[in-house]
Amino acid sequence: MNTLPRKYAFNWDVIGTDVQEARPALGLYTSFEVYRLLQFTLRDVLESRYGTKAADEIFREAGTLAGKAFFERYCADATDIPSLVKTIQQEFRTLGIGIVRFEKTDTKTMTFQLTVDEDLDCSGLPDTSDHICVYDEGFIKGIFDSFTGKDFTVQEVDCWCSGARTCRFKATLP
Amino acid sequence: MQDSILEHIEKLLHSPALPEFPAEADKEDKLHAIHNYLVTLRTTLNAFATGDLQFPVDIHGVIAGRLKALQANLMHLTWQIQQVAAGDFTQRVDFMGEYAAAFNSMVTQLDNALTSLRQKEEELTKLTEALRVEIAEKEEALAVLRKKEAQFKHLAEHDALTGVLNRRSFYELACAEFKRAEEKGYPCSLAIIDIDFFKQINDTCGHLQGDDVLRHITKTIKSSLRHGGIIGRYGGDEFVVLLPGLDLKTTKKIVDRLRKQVAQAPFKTSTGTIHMTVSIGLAHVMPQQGLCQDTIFFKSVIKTADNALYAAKEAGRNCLVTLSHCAQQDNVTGKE
Repeated sequence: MNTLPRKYAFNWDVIGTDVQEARPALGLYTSFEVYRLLQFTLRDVLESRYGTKAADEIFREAGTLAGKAFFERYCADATDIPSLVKTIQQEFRTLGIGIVRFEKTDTKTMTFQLTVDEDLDCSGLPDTSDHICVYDEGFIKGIFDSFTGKDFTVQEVDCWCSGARTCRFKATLP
Repeated sequence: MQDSILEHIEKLLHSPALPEFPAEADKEDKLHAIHNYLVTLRTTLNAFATGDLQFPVDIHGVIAGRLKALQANLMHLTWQIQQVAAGDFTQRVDFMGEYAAAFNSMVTQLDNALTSLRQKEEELTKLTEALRVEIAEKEEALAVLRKKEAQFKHLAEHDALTGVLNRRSFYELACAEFKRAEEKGYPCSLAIIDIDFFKQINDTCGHLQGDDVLRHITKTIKSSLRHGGIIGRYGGDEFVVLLPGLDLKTTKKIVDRLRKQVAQAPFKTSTGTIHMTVSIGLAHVMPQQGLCQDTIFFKSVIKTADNALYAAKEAGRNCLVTLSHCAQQDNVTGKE
């Protein structure tokens, strides 16, 4: 456990509570390229300094933190899996994260499979035969962990970058 | 060489059977890659065409990408249909063109139909409940009516003071019993019981006490006729008893026992004890074919019993006089 003094411990307040007041002329939204510019330059530096594996781990962990924060802010009213699914679909679309479609919601085995079309992280990237949505993996894990109180494993089983035109994720319990 | 390569690719695209790789092009790596790609594509498409939606798509490129998109759409549609089957009618498809419109229309109609059915079911349930309540109320009202009817019937048939049959009801029952006796051929006896000096009891103790005496006598008669005679109140202090199916000897024994019980059971009041006796006139009838079918016959039997009662009073009261209805013959019992 890191015992260093913290400057950037996340909560919703640190990103500004009144965005309307902060950007009265430009508004709430920006180009997805700007998002990716931030993400991929950050990846670049992290990979250069710590290597690909560590950079991916850091991104996945950040995604989990974001997923948990997302759940608290947007999904706290979900009472069961169907209502959680609906909320995720609705909020991902509203916030421009992607178009979520579920393929499996097995509540007995707690296995979920979903795809994200027009994914904010990777749609339109060149075909590199690789899976790169580690932040998304963490994000989805954060949501399911928060809802169930269990420790999910989320794996991207298909990615735009590996030739698909949609990203597919599988969430399972170990 | 080029022709054979093109021909091979053409076969890969069109031929149902998988063609052999041309030996002369064995060293053409690009052709090997295209061959493998097309073979995988054929296998994948065949899997989808035969319903295996989970078949992994391990190839890249624009065609593979489209296949994966189609696979994802079909898998998601399958999931959506499962959700609808589980009762989630909010599912809507916003991809796959015409199919989406048809699916959304179907789900909407299913939702409407089920909602309508549920409403109808609720209405039916409410109606059933209302009907059940109404039936219960009607049954309750009917039960009250039946109870009242039974009470009125009892009041109409019985003497209000003593609870035994009134004269009219006794008459009807006795007539029916005489007819039955005639059909079966068994004898009947009719007794008239008169309380001796009852007027004196009324005059000295009062009418209310007199009523109590009448009830006491009724109780004594009932306890004496355990075998099932028919008892009625004929007049003020007179009772009638019909004893069917017994021979004369047994009848006399029973009726005289009744007389003795009255004499041996004085009526205790708050002011003292009232000793009572009864005089009894008994008419014994051996039914004869055709004689018991009318009211005249019954009245004649009453007359016989009345004559016997008169004789009992003449004989000094507290006794039983028997007359055969046919012979009109006196037979005094109870006077020593």
